[in-house]
Amino acid sequence: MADLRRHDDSDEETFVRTGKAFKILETDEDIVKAKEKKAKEQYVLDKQGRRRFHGAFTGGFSAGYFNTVGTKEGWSPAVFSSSRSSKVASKRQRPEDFMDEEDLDVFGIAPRLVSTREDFEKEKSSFSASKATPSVIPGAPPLQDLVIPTRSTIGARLLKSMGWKEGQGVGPKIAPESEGHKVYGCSLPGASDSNDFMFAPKDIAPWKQLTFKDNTHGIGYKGMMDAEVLSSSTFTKDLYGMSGQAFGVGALEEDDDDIYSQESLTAYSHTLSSEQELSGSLKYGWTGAISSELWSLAAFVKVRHGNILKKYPPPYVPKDFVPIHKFTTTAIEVSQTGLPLSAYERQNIVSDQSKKSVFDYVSSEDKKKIDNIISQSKSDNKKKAQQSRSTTNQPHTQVNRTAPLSAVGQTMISGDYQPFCDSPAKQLRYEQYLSGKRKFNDSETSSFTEWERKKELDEFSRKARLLKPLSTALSDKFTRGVTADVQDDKNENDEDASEAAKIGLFGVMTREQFDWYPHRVICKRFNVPDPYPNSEIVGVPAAVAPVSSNKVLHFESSSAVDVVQEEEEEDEEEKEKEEQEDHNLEEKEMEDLQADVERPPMETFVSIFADASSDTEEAIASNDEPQIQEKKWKNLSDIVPVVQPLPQALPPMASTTPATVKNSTKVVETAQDDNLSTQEVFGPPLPPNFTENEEKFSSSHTTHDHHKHHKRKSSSSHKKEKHKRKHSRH
Amino acid sequence: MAALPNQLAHEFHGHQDAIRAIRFTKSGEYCLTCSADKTVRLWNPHRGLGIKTYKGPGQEVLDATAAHDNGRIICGGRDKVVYLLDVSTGQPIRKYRGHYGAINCVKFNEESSVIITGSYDSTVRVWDCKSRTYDPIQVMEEAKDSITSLFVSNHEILTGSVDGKARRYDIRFGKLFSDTVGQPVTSVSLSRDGLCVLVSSLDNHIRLLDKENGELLNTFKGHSNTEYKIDSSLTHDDSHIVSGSEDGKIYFWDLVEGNVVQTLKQSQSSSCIVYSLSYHPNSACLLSAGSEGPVKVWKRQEDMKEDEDEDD
Repeated sequence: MADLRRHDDSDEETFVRTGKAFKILETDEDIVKAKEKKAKEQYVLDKQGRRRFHGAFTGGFSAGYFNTVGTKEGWSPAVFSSSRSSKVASKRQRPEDFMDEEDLDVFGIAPRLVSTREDFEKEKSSFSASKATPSVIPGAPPLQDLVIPTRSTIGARLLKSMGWKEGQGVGPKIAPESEGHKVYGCSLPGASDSNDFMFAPKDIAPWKQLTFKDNTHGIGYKGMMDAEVLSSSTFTKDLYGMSGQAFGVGALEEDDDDIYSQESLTAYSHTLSSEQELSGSLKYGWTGAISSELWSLAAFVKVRHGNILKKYPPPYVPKDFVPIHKFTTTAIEVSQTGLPLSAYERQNIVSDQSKKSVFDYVSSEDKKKIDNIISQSKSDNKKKAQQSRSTTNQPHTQVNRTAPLSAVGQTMISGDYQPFCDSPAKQLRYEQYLSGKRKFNDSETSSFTEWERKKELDEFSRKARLLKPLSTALSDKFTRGVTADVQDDKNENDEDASEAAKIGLFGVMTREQFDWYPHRVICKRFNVPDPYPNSEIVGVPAAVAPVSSNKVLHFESSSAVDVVQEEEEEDEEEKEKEEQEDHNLEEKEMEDLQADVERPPMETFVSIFADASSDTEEAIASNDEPQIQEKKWKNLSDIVPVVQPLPQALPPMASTTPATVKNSTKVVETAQDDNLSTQEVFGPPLPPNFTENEEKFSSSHTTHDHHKHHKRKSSSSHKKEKHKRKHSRH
Repeated sequence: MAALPNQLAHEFHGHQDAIRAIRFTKSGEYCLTCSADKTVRLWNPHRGLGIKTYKGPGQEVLDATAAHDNGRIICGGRDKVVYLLDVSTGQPIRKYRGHYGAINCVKFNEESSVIITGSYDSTVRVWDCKSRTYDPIQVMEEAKDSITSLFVSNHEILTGSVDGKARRYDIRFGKLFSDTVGQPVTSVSLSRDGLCVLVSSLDNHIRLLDKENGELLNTFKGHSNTEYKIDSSLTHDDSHIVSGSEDGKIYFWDLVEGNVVQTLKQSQSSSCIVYSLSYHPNSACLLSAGSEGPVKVWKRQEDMKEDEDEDD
C-alpha cells in the first residue's frame, strides 16, 4: 500500500515513499532460487499449465505438436454429414473458433467482460428513444442529463490506490497549523498532542494566470492554431463506418438532392493565382495606384491605433512626499465658522502663497522698460497695419500674417539664432523683413519670379511666428539652437513642387537635381565614360538623397565621405611634419642606400616597410617573440621576389640616377598594394616637384592609376616620398 | 494629317486572356504581346500572323521587349522574375530574381547588354546580361512608389512613378533630374530627337516637358485617364502624340497646336480601356490593345495598298 505519511520518529526515513514496495527477499535461498532459472526454463504457462507458444504472454497460440498448431494425427478436414432427422446446420465460421480460451479472457485479444464503454452513446440512443416512446413533454427526458456514466481516469485510479480520496489535495500529508489555532469551548487537557494527526493538503485549483492581451485581434479570435489543424479531433472517429452518399439516403435524412455525387469541373479552381488578381479593378495588369479598399478583407477591420500596448509609467512620487495629509489649521478654522467663504478667502486657502509670477522677480526699472516696449509694439503694429493696408493690395488677413512683430523682430535680429544661416543672403533678407524695412521689389530679388517672392515672404512670416519669443524682455535670458531643421525644409520643397505642378509652373520649382553615381559596369555597357571615375559611391549620396529605404547604401556612402574628410586632414598634418623632418632623414637614408646596393638584407626592408602596418612595427620592437617574427618574415617573403631583380638594375656606384631609384620604389609599392588596399582614399595632390618626376616616370600609366598612387603615398609612406625627393634634387 | 494611321489593317486573336502590353521590336518588323494567360506571343503585324508563343512565366506577364537583334526576349510580370528567353527555341536562358513586387516594365539598352526593370516595389534594377552574375548591377531606390514605366535612351534612363515624379538618370553626367508632376505618372517617353519628355499622369493630362530644364512645353487633354496605366507615345516623326484612353478610343494630338487631330475606335463600347499602344519606329503604323476585343494594327490607306501589292 501507499505510504504517504512522514515518519518523524526515525531520522533515516525522512523521505517520502510512494508506490508499491517490492517483496523483500529475506533469505539467501530465495535469492538463489530467483537466480536459478536459465533461459531454457523461462517459458510461459497458461492457466491450465500448458506451455505457451514461443514465449508470447497473451494472444499467442498454445504450442501443439512439435511446436506447431497441428496435432499428432495431422490435420483432418471437416466431414460432411447429414441425415433426415438432423439437417446439417449452416456452418458459419467465427473468429472465436480460432481463438484459445485465454484470448477471451480479461487480458486476451477479445475479452468478454461486461464493462462501461468509454464513450456513452447518448446521441444515438436519445434519437431512437424519442422516436420509439414519444413522451408528453417534448425534448429529451428530464433526468437523462443527470445519469452520467462514471469512469475514473487511470490517474485517479492510481491515486486512489495510493490512498488518495476525492476532495483531497495531492501531495504529502501535512500537520495542521497548531500555533495560534482557535479552540472553541473548553480545550481538552491533551489537546496539544494534535500534532500527531496528519491531514491531506487542501484541494485548491492552481491560480489560472490571466494573460495580457498583446495582439490586435478581436476578442476571442485566435487565428489559425497548429494544434487545431493537426489534433485528432478534426478527424472522423469511426474508421470503419461507411460514409458517403453512395450508400443511399435514409428516409429520415433530409439532404437527398445529390445521391450519386457527380463530379463537375466547375467545382474546381483552375487557376493558381493570388487573391489580388480576383479583385475587380486589377484586371488590366495595373500595379500602380490602387485604392486601399480593394485590398481589405470583408470580415476584418484595419487597426486604428498603431500600438495596443500602451504602457503608462507609474506616477512620479516626489522625494519629499509624505503620504499623510495634514489639514492646515486655517482651512479647518474657516470651515468651522460655518459661514460661506468669499472668492478671495478661498483663493487664499487654496493657493500657495510662496509662488509668484515671473514678473514679480523683475526689478521696477525693468518693468518700466517692458511696459514701454509693449506700448511701443502696440502702436507700431497699428501703424504697420495701416501702412501695409494703404500700400499693398493684399487682403487683410494676409497683412496680419505677414506684418512682422517689429518689436519682437528687433530682439530676434539681435539674438544669435539664424534660421537661414546656410544662405547668408536669405538670412539678410529675413532680418530686413523682421525689422520691417524690407521692400519686396528690391534689386536683390528682382531676378526672382513672383512665385518665388511670394513663397519667401510666406516662409519668413511662418518662421517669424514660430520663433516669436515668449516675452521679448526675457528673450535674452535664453539661448537657442543655431541652425534650423533640414528635414523640415525638404518637406516644404516637396510640397512646393507639387503645388507648383498643380498651377502649371513647371521648371525651376518642379525640377530637382541630385548627383547620381552610376555603377561603372553600367557606364561600360552604355558605352559612356564614367562621370565619377575615382568614386566608390554608387547611387545617390546619402547627404543629398531623398528619404530612401536603402539603409546599407546610406551607411556606405556616408562612411566614404567621412573617410575622405579625415584623410584630407591627415594629409595636411603629414605635409607639415615632412617638411620639418626632411633634412634629418635625407642624410641617413642616403647612407642606407649606398651601403645596400647589391642585395639589401631583410632588416632594411623591415625598416622601410615598418610604418606600412603597425603589426610589423611591433614585431621589430619585441624581438623576443619568435612567433611574430615568423609572421613578419612570411609577409616579407611575399614582397622580396618582386624586389629581387632590382640590384641588377642598380649600378654599384653611389651616384645612382634618379630614374632607377624611383623605379625600385615603384615596384615595391605595387607589391605593397595588397597591404594598403584597405586604406584607399582620396586626398589633395602632392607638392609639385614630386609630381613632375612621377609623371615622367609613369608616362605609360593612365592618369587614373596615377591618382591612385598619389593617394597611397600621401596616406601611407612618407619615407618613400623623401626617397624620391632627395634623389630628384641630386 | 495624312501621315496618321487611320485604317484598320489587321486584328490578332489568340491570347486566352487579357493582353497586358504590346510592343514593336526595335526594327518594327515584328511585335510582341504579353498577356494574363502567362504567355508572350510574337507576331508579324504587317501580315497579321502569329509566329511563336513563349511560355515560362508563372503568372501574368506585364511587359516584354525584344533585343535589338531580335535574338532574345525579356519579359516580366507578377511572378517578380525577369525572364530572358531565346527567340528561336523559346527556352528561358536566364532568370533574374530580386524584385519584391510585380514587374511593371522591362527594357533593354541599345546594345541589349543590360536589362532595366521597374517594379511595384518602387525600385528600378539594372541587370547585366553579359556577366554571369544574377544580382542587379545597380538598384535605383529614389522613387517612393511603384515604378510604372521606363524609357531607355543611349545614355539616359527615364522612370515614371506613382509618387508623381518623372526621374531621369543621366549616366553621362552622373546626375539625377527629378520632375514633379504631382499626379501618379503612368507613362514616360522621350521624343525621337531626345529633347522632350512626354509624361502621362492620372489627371487626364499628358505633358510635354523640356528635358533640359523641366519646363512645360505643351499639355494634351481630351482623353480620359484617371485609373489605369495607359501608354502614350510620340509618332515616328515627332509630329503627333498618341495615347489610349478609358473611353475606348485612341487619341491623336498635334504636337505644336495641342488639339485633338484624330480619334480611332478600339471598341464600340465606351467601357473599353485602351491601355497599351506601340508606334512603329519609322513608319506610320500603330498597334493598340484594349480591355476588350483583339489587338489592332492601324495603318495609312496608301501603306495598306502597298502591302497588298507586296502580298500579291
